[in-house]
Amino acid sequence: MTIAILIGLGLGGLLAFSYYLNQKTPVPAGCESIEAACEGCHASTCSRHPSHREDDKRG
Amino acid sequence: MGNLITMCISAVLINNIVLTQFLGICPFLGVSRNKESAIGMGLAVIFVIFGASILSYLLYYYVLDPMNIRYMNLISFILVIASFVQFTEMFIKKYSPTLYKSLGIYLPLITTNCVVLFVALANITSGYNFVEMMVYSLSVPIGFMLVLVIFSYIREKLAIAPVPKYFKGNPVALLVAALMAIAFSGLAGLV
Repeated sequence: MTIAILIGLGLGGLLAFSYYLNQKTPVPAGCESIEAACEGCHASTCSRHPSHREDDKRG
Repeated sequence: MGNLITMCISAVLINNIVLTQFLGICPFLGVSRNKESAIGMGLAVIFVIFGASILSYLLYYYVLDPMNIRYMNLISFILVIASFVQFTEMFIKKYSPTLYKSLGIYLPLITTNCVVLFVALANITSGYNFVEMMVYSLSVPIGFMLVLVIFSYIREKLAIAPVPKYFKGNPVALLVAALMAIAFSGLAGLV
């Protein structure tokens, strides 16, 4: 059981670390507005849905 | 060798993941409005499924199985897939801006594509060896890309076709998907 928890925590940590590194990596020039062009599934719960970005801008 | 070819044809054409298992329907409907998006999404899915399946397979047989914690496979695979997608996005962002521009938005969305998790789990439950796992993990996303690209061509034509008002959009798209499933079922006698 302890090993299972440790592996779970380790993989969770790996995900957090990879997310942190990904966010820290600068977006290449000319690719800043890629997300704005997304015409994916239109799921309103998706964090990349345009309405969420507008909420972020409003604060 | 014949077994691997049969497995490949079966996964791509006969037991196509979208048309027989109804998995990956969200990107199938959402990213099929134009063929450029469909090709970008298809390529990204092939890369992520292949990479994530290899990592999941190694994790299962070299960590979870020897330690007798096989019940951790679902949560472990989800975390491995999500991490792999993050690392892939970071790598592409850093070393290939052109590729990032074409795939950029589709890469993070793949984390929520259930086909990725299905393939990782199917490799374990089917008891595939390493070579079979690689062939299966390559064939399934190729099948996904094939129907996605065909569907995008049809939807581009549908966009300018005189479709009745209440069938426009997703209703007619689902009808087309159903007809595609029927057409693909005709290939069942191929192997």
